[in-house]
Amino acid sequence: MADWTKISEGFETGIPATQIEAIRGTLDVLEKTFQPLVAALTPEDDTATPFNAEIEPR
Amino acid sequence: MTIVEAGALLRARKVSSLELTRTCLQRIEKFNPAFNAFITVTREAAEKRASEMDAELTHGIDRGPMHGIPIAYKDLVFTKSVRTTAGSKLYADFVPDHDARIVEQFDAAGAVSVGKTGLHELAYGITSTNPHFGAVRNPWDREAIPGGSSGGSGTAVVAGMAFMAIGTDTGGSIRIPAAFCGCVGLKPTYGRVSKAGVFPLGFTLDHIGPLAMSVRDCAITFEAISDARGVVPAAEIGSLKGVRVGIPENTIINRVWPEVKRGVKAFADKAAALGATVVAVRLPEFAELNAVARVILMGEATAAHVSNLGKREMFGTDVLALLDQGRLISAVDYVNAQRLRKKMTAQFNAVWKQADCLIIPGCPTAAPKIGQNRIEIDGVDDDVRLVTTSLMRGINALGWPALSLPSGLADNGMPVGVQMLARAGSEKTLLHVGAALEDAAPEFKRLPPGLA
Repeated sequence: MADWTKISEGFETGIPATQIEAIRGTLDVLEKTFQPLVAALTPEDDTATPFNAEIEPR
Repeated sequence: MTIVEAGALLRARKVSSLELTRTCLQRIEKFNPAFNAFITVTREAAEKRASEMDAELTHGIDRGPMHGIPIAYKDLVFTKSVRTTAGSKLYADFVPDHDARIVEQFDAAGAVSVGKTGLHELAYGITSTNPHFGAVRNPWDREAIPGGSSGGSGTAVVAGMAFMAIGTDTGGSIRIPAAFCGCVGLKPTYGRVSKAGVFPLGFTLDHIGPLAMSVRDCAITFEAISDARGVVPAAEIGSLKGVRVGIPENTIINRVWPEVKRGVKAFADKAAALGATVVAVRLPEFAELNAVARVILMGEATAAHVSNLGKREMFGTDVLALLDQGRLISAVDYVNAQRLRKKMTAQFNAVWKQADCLIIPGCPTAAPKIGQNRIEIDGVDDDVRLVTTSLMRGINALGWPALSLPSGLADNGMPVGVQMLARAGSEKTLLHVGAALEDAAPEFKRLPPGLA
């Protein structure tokens, strides 16, 4: 699992340690689902450009 | 009363816009202290505007079906000279110097705004229990949440404080309050309604649409604020012959209260009785799509509000936690989430080879109580926010239009709803089938005792 404390320090977020503890579990669960999906991406998988932006009326 | 019914009375001169507006204002005065649906009520401006709309009708000027109809805006829609709080302490005194594009469109259509409805702080949550402006209450039970983030809009419409209230939907925020309050909600296709002048939450996930008391009212509203024309269903629809209605059989779709499941079956049966071909389909996994949508939302929401994150005391606990989580999402994860979104959208879109629209549950349960964090389904205790958004959040990533329809009451007397989905740009099909099913299910049209 990611070390959220180190990531927070690296990004210089200033998020208090108590808050990191409070959100750690949620982030871990999300990572567990998300990262295997990322691992299955291939170079041909392009990004969704700002979605349908061409039909945004204004 | 619906917009369609009010419009007929207006044109027959049996009622005036001023009378309709004053009725809404009286109901706000009577019920808002108990339900907290409105943050700001614009009484004087509404009465003045209604009188102007009456004068136009008298002189033969008819702007169409929204002419003279009292409506409300979720309080993150910019309204010139009327404060727009976004449900946040940061914007408690913010008064825009211009209108949102949709406000200009409703003005052109002749609508009368009675005020601004309450919401979850910054539209970032599903309870509408707002730490700065108070909890919005469910019209069926004051101790229950109305859903969110457009909770005030749901309560306002069901309590007869407005004929239609605009909501926004980034992960279910129109459809959840529609299901929990017992009204109809339309999340149009991404991009079909302008977001200009609306506080953002998720830049590539935000949708704007109506909550109202009927499918036709949602269709009328949608036409007023989009490029869509000819999408308002006929007064009598009759047969659905030739329409393929898909019923997904995924596991997650069955992880709902039995009462919710019964609603899906009831509408599937009604569709079949109306001549539609009902087919079983299978969708890719919602859990994976939801994870992708969450990564995108967390990155975008924090990007939208990062400049204020130093003022931590200005945020409620739950919203601050979500914004902090977004700070820890890397740019690499965000870009990969957008790549996954594109890939998954193609996979989900394959279902349209088999069906023209889908019927799935809306929220898996009825509305939880205010402050309730856990809820039980099939004997398993789960997080309220994750359960409530489980069949909603991913749809925003797909950009599909979605319609929330009431499907009666749960055993505890609270409303439940189903969700209808169609391919991007197919609101006409969605609204046509939705109106036919609504007409066929008068037993699902219920109002809370004491508010009828």
